[in-house]
Amino acid sequence: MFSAGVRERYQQDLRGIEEAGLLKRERLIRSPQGADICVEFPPGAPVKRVINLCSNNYLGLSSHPEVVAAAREGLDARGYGMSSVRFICGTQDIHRQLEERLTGFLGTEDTLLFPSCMDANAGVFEAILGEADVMIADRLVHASIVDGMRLCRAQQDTFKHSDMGHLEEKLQEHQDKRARMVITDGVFSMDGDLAKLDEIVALAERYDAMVFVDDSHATGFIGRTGRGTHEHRGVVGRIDVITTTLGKALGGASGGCVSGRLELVEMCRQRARPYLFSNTVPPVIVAGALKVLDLIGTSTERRDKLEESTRYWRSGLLELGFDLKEGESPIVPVMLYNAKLAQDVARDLFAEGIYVVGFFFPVVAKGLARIRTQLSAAHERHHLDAGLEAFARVGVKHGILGKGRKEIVEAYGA
Amino acid sequence: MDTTRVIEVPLPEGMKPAPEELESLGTLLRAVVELHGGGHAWEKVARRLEEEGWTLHTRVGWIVEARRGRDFEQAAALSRDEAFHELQSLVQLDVVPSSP
Repeated sequence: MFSAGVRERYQQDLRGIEEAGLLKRERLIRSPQGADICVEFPPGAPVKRVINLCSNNYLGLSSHPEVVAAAREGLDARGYGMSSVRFICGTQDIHRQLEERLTGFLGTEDTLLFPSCMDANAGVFEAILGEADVMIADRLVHASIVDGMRLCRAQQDTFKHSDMGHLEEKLQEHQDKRARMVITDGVFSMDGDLAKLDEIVALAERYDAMVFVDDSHATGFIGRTGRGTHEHRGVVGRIDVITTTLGKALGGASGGCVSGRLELVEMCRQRARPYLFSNTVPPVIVAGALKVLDLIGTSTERRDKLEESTRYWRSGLLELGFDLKEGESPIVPVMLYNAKLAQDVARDLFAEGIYVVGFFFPVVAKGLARIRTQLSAAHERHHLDAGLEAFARVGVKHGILGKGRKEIVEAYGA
Repeated sequence: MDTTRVIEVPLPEGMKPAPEELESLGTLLRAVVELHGGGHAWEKVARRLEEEGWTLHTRVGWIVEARRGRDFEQAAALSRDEAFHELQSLVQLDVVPSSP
C-alpha cells in the first residue's frame, strides 16, 4: 500500500536530489531531431529554435528523408509490432537480413539484435561467462556494462582507465581462471577518448583472453569507413564481442546488437535473458536501420564530413581559448571544472541559441565538470560558426577564455 | 530446555580484544554450535534442494560491507583479503556513473 508515510519518504528523497542540484528536467522538443531543433524550456516558454550540440545524431540520419521513407515502407509492408519475443513468433526475414548486414559491416561472424544496446550489455556476459571465468573491465565503462557484469556470476575485476600496464598485471593475475574477458568501451562517452584496442588485443592474445567492446559511440563513423574503433585501430576480425546501438549514428531510433564470434552470438540467442524475454525490435526500426546501412555502406561522405566538422569545431574552440579534453572523436568536452559554472554556461548558451548540457558530479568525477559538445554530419558550417560565436560571448561573460584548470578553479572553486 | 553455557578465558593483564576479534570468536563458536545441530530449519531446505538436483556445499567465510550515502556494496569470500579484493572491484566498477 502506498501510504502517506511511504509517499513522504520518496518525496524527501526527491527533495534531496533537487537540493543536491541533480534534478533532471526534460526539455520539450517540438521538431524532429536535427542540427537545429525547436525547444520549449522551461515548460510554457515560447518555443525557440536552437542549434543542437548534444545529440548522438553523429551522421545526421535521425530525420533523414530516405530513412523516414524506408521506415514508412517497412511499417506498411511488415506492420507496427510483432507482439512477441524473437524466438516464439517475433523474427521476420528483415530481422535476419539486418543481422547479416551488421555482421558484414562490423567484420564479425554473426550478429543478434536486441531491443537496445543497454539490453545487449545486460544479457551478454551472463550468457557467455560463468563462475570459473573473470571479467576485467576498464574503470570507465558504460553503466549498462556495469549492470550486465553485476548480473553475471563470473568474477569481476577492473583496470585503470586505458592503462595497458595495469591491464597486463590483471591478465597475469587471472591466468588461473577458465576464461578471461577484457571489457572496454570503444569510445568513452564522457571524455570522447578512444580505447587502445590494438594494444588490448595484443595483450589479450598474449594472455589468452577474449575482448569485448561496446562501440555505441563509434559505429558508423569511427575508422576510415565508419566500421568503428576496431577499424580505426586496425584490429577488425580480432574482437570477440562487439555490442553497439542503432540509437545513435545508425538512425537514432532504438535497437542494439551483439556481434562477434559465431558461438558467442549463438550462446546469446540461447541464453541471453533480454533477448529471450523482451519484445522483438519493431519492423519499422529494422526497415529504417537497413536503409541507414545502405546509405553509409556506399559512401563515406557523412563520416568524412563529421571528421572535418570535428576538426573545425575543436580548433575553433581552442583558438577562442577554451580548455578541451584531447581527443579524436566528435565528442568534444569543454572543461569548466566547477559544477555551477557548467550549469551557468549551459544556461547562457541556451539563451544564445545553443543547446548543450552541463555535466558534473556524480556523472563525471568531482572537480571535472564540463559541457560535452557533440558534432553531427547534419551540422553545416554556419551552425558551427554560430556555435563558436555564442561560445565566445559566453566565455567572455564568465571570464574563462584562455584559462586552464588552475585559474578556473581559483576563480570559481573546485 | 536450552542451557546457556559460559566459557571463561583468563586474559593477560592489559589485553583488550578488539571488537572484530570478539566478533570472530563469536562466529567461530556459532559455527561449532551449528555443526553440533544448532537450528534445524536449514535441513528441510537442504533436503528439498537436493531432491531438485542441487549439490550443496557449506563454508564459513568473511562478509565485508561498504556504505556511502545511498550506495551499498557487499562481498563474501573465504579469506578477508579475497573479500576486500572483491569489494574493491565492485566499488571501482561504479566509481563514476557514465552518461549516455
